[in-house]
Amino acid sequence: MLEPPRPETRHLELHAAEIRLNLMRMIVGKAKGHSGGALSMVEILTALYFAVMRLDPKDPHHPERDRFLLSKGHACTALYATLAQRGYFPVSTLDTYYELDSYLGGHPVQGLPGVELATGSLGHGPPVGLGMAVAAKMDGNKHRVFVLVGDGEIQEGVIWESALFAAHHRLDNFTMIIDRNGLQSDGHTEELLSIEPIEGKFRSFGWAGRTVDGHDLDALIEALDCVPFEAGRPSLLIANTVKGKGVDFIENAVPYHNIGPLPGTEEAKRAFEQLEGRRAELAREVGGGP
Amino acid sequence: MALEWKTFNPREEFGKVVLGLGKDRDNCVVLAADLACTCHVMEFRAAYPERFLNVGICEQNMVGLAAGLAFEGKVPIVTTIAPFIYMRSCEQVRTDVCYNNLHVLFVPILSGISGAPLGSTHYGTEDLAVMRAFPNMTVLQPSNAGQIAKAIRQAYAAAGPVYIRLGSGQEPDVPSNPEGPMIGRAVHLREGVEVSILASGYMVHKALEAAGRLAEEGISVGVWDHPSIKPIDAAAVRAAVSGSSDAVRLIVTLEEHNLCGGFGSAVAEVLAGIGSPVPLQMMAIPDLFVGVGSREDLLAQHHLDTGSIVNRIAALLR
Repeated sequence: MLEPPRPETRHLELHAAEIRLNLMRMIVGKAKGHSGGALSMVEILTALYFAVMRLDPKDPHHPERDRFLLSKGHACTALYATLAQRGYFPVSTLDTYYELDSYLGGHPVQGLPGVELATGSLGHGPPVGLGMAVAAKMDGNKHRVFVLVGDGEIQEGVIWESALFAAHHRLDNFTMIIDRNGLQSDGHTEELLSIEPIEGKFRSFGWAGRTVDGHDLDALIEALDCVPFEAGRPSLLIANTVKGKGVDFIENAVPYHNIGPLPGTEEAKRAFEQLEGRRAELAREVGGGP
Repeated sequence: MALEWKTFNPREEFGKVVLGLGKDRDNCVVLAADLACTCHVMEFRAAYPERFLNVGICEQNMVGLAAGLAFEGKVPIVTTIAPFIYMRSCEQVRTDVCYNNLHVLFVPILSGISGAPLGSTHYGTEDLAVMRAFPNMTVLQPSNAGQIAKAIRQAYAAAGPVYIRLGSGQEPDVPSNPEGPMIGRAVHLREGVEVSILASGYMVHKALEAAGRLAEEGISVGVWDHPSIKPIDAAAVRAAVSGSSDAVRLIVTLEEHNLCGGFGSAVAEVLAGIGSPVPLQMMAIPDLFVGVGSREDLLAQHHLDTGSIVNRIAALLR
């Protein structure tokens, strides 16, 4: 029941294309949202939710489910669209994004099926996820904890507190994925406050690390299937991505960190053309959809 | 003359209570940040090493961990020196724990200026203001050994986050024994006619001393102990406005906390809400950083010793 469906790659790519289209509908529809960082992590979420994590969308609190925290919570539109795509709630629920009393706000909150805890203040996800990992070890439970962080986010000091802790306590049921899109709110990470070499830093802290193309679903799944990368060590997966992936004028464009195309504009039209074009192309290839 | 008090050590008392909780409840997890000895949780560690985490000098990570543990059904008890909870890991307390309404017990020591003479880096004189402002948070301040045990046990049995403010050193073990629930309830310690003193924590003994001294001068003073700062016992505050015979001329709050936002403010909020006609005198640490000296000398410096309290009340009544 909890085993992921793990469709073929083309079907996964179609899921990713539909997630991108749906998140863009949310952002353009409300003229608000962090489009760049949402688009960059779509394949990571697709791999986790459709091929890696053990979960049951009809029983979101199943005790044996793998836990996921979106520490880079500002990119929540991708998570909402992924959860809908995976069947946690109807796709029509995405229309409530930013509406009064909606669970689909600017950062994830408890109450939306599939969201474990409110996240989004940067640096907070890993310590909370480590608490879940410690509890699992204490109770002899086998589920795993995955936390997705932004690359700029690892500038937060508490990330390094948690990195020390995870290695010291040999929490090999914990995996941190970094969406390495190279950009943060104000510019390039390496120009603003350099964080490289990321993998080397974590390895020196006692983690096991790997780096993959964060838009290559097969590579992501192959890597995530291997966690823990080393027994007795927490795992770090660096997913090299393109911020704004899938929409040419948003790709690597710093200003699109916390905005999207405005409704009714040429930009919105172009974004939908590109995302819908990609979706239709994949749908034709797989014969009407997964 | 100050009264002679039997004393207790809050840290030792805390250590005893968590040890007992560890025995009774197997989901009780204690987290310390390199101050396990200082916080007297070494016996817990020895007895239940698998449920004890010394996270190192990483308070933000500690509170995040506590949130994750609580989410999974553990009841974490987080302890360190007060400012390192309410300031260093403030955002984790607010966002990870309170926003998610997780059942975490924060038990800081060295609150107020009980850490004297360490200086303001290690005093906890703004914690009530900070913690009171977080939705879902319950804030307790025991005034004696028995209340520490009750506060922790009742917080454990409750839901959501609880901040239990403890001092340090030897403190007067005032006779204030709440029956039944402590959360949201004050204890009426002394009947009085003209003045009502509402005190909390360490300052309760000074309220009782001042009331005794003022009685010798013919001024009848009622005293309430408010171990529950949030929720405040609004009914007890209303009772203090009336006193024994509707003749109260002055309400006094006493606390070892900055004047801004603490226990006195909580009482003032209730009084403002009911449109109390009785003047309120908030006696607290002024809005400044307290310096070096013994706890008692520093309280006297800021007019919070028994003699100063007596003199101020007498002067206000003249």
